[in-house]
Amino acid sequence: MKKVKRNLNTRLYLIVGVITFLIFSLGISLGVILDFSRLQYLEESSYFQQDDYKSLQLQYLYISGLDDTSKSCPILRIALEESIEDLSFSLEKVQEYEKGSAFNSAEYEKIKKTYTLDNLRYWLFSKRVKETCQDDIINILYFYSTDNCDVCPNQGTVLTYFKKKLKDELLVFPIDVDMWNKEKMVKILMTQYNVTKLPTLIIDDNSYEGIYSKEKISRLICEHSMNKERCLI
Amino acid sequence: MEIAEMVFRIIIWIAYFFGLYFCIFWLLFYLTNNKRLKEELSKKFTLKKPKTVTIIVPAYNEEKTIIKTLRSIISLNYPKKMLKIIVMNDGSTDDTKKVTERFIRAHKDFDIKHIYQKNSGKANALNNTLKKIDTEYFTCLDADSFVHKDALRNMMARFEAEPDLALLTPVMKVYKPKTWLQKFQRLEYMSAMLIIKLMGYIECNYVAPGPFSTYKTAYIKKIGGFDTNSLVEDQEIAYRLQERHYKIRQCSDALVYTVAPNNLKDLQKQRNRWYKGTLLTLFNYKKILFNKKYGDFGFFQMPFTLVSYFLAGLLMLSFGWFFLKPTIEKIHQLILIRFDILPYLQNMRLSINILDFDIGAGLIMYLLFAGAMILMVKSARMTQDKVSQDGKIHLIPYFMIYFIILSFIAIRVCVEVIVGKKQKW
Repeated sequence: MKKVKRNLNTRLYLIVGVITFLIFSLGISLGVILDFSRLQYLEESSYFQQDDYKSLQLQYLYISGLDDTSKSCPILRIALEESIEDLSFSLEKVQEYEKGSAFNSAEYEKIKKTYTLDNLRYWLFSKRVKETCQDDIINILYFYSTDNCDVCPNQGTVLTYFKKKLKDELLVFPIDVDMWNKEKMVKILMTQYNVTKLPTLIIDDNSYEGIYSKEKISRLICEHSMNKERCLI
Repeated sequence: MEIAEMVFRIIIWIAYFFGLYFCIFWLLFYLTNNKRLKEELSKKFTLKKPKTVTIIVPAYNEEKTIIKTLRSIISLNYPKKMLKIIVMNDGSTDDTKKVTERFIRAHKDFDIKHIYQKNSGKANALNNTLKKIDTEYFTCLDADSFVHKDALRNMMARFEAEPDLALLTPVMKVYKPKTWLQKFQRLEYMSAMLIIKLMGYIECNYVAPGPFSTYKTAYIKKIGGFDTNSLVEDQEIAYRLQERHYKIRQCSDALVYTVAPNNLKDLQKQRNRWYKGTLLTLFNYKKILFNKKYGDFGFFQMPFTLVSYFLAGLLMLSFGWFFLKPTIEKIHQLILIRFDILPYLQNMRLSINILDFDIGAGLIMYLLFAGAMILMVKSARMTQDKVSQDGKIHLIPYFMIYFIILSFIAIRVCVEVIVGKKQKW
């Protein structure tokens, strides 16, 4: 019997190894480039939002000097709502992109901090607008944590639902408490409202601890509304 | 990022790396051997002096299909007098015997024998028949398979041209696929054929499919026949032939059609036996692994088979992570909002941002998929088949679901082998 001639195609294995490695490096480099582009995009939208805020402040300054605010207030309200929605959209993106990032966690922290500050600023601002314009807007300050709160995503889902449903009549300001030792303002608020449990909702200076289901939130919105039609939803 | 997630990601990247490596290997190997392959496929071997061949039909409770199998044998384009057909009845409890004997009486012009033995497994049945064989070549045809009329003539022509061949394997096709599961298996068998063909060029054929693998009798007798202890005697014999450096090739113009399992339970039973048998065979021949004497077989084919189990596991894991977990989360969210999705539909924010696509991992996945598709199409062309014979829509669940099912079975088998549970069959 004739034995088969066996070879070892070492060269082929090496060539394939090199090609695989190159494609892999390309994939990983693209991933890194993508990560940087995402950061840049988030920073840019942050700048745009700063401009929006300045414009809003100007509008408010003008309106607060007027005797009759009934014509101007709706415009301000819509502008405010749009800015806040942009902000929450960006915040979602930050969280989504951060998950896919292997390296720049410090950069993401920085951006998250900026967004948290923006959120607080808008919250204060919308409280003032509510008084000036006598609006029936519900402001919810929502304390949560990405890392140390398992049920928070559930609360987030319910809040997003109401946000979609009520549109500009409900404003939600999510605050990640993991920021508190980096950001003193968060600490002040948490002490002020005595936040010890997560998640916690603050509506009209009242604090609501623990998770609130769809039905419970619906009742809360009803309690804090001037317009009792909302109690029907 | 959590540590668990980090570890998971690294493992997934390693799986991508291996997957990509093997895909590129076969693509490159195909491209560099394209000329040789074309030459081989265009070369028509013509049989000058037909030799007598024994065809063994091992049968266990096959009353329903055996007549069809026998009919496909007597319709072979091969001299009548040169065929010796032996039905090896492995203790069937149904009417296999009666049906076969009636067939023999009706076809007196053919040399057909019916031999009955107490049930003792396929390998035993083959060995008992092997003792009685006096022809230079023999072949087996499972009683659930049907052979193309030119298959034997083409194989014998190839044997005539290459007398040092110990084993020729056929091109296997799924017989009349009807259910989705059979259509998936059709695609699977079809894709494998090109790679099995190419394996012959680096002496890496590792399986002699049950239906219509044809052997040189003297060589099989010399290595001691089939292994009665193996779950996959058709794979074990290929490994043993490789161990002793015999020549194995695939004969691309010998077609055989086999009935594929048409429900999950049967598929699971079949694959359980295959995968477990493969693992045990790998273990039994571990001395070949990374042994220089065995060249590519030890350095490529065996690690390739081993790694495919590892890849199967990771496929399952990533399926759970990327598909199952988000789906469960979505359902949970729907429960939280009491299935009132109307506000979401009214406030859809349609924005397509290129940054939302993970182009890094996407590139690798896309290349992997493209490579697999190219190999599949080329394999289809080689076996004169079409990928889209049953419609292109099957390809989606084939890639998305079928492989998940297979890898699930593979994982179970790995666990069972490690735990050490014995398999009956």
